Amino acid sequence: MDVKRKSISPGLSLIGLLAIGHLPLGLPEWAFFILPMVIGGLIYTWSLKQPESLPSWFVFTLGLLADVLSSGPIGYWPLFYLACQAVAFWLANNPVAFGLFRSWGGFLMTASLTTLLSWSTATLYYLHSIDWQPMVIGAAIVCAVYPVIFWLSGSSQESSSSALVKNTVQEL
Amino acid sequence: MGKSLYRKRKAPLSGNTRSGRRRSKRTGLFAFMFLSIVLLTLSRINHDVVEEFRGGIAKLATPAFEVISKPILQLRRGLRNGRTLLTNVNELDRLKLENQKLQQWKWRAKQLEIRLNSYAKIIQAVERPPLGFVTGRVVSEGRGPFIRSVLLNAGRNDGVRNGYPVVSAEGLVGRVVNSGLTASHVLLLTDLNSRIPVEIGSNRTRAILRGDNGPAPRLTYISKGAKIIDGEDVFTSGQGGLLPRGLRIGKVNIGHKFYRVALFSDPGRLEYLSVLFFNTPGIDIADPTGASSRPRRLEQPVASGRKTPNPADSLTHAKRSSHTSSPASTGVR
Repeated sequence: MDVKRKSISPGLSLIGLLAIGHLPLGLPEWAFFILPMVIGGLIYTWSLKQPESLPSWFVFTLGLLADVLSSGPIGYWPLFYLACQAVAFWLANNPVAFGLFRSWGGFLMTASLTTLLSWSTATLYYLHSIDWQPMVIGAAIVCAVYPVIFWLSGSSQESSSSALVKNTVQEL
Repeated sequence: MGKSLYRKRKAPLSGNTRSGRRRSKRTGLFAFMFLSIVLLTLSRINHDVVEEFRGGIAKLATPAFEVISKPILQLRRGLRNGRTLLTNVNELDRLKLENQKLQQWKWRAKQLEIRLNSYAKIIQAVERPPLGFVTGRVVSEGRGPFIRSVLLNAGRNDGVRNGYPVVSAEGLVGRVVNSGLTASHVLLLTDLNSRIPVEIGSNRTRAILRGDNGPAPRLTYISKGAKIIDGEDVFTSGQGGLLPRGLRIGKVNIGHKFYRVALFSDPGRLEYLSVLFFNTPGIDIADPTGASSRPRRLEQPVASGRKTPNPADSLTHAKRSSHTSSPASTGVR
């Protein structure tokens, strides 16, 4: 029961955050990229720590939901979120332990790449140079508070990971 | 906190199983990334499937957002009221004086309205039918690198069609771009894709108001030799027939590079919006399927519990077709 709860908690948290991001909060113009970047950060961290709890189809569906709710072009946010996951999977291939500082470093790279991808996709889509400042501000703020994201995602990590180890051992 | 368990979890697996899982994970990821690019392309060419899908999801999500957004809006209103109380105590005397002046203007406006109507009778001017409207509540905000839109809890069932103008108590906010059965997406004036034909000031200089995702849209295609003064009023010109003439938009703000417009309505603080049923041949082209739909309820607020914006307040240079004070009877020439 606990294993199930822990494995679905990343998904539920992301859906909750997505819903909050689309509520009429009246945020200023420069702050629109913060919440999507927080979601990107959580996808990155969970994909690094417990990839089984966040399959690609779920990340894709989450992105589609974001597109529909924002009335933006369909396929934009799935690409952004999947890029976050792709970097995490790539980093997870390295045979080194991912503590806070390594994860933070990885996230700096992820944030830079995905912000560039986000800006270039939007610019290509509309053939118009999109204002890059809100994106950079959002990415910088989320990079600065990444330890909080790491800690939040880490609180559910230990128990679920140990449960997964037990399950795998049983399977073998 | 800093210790990773990723390696621990992988340890009991054999090399083949681990690499197999990794490969399938990677394949799935790239397949979905490819699918995203395909969807982006379909979205770019405005494929019908994409629009239907969007409308379907919006219909499903609206009831949930309606429930969640209620306390948020109340909190925002409370905060705003508190801030107003704290900052505007000294403004009271000035507002009283201003109110007195406005009462005089109101009386003058009524006199002018009577005179205008008598002139209209003399020249036998054709009266336009009154403009109906429906008021809804903003339940969701759509924001991204290139989108400035809101989701309104009024849709085709309420008579809303694609292309209809949307106003708040302060002025024009945007227009409906995607109307579902119970909800509609409103493209704001600040959105990158927004283009509105406008007139500026008493000279009625024509221009196009173009959104660039910033808080103040730009004025482009300004008539040659036109003189634009800082602070002049900007309102819809009605050119192209998609919007009524005379809807208030904002004031000219001359910047470093461009002429910009400081909007009367704050796009970040929208709560209740009215959709004007402005039926023209242009709307039939923008929304051919909506021509047959009949509004279930007209001129009734979808949301309740607060004074809804009166679309008549948004009309500044437009003329009323009758003396009645009901907003439903507001007509535009």
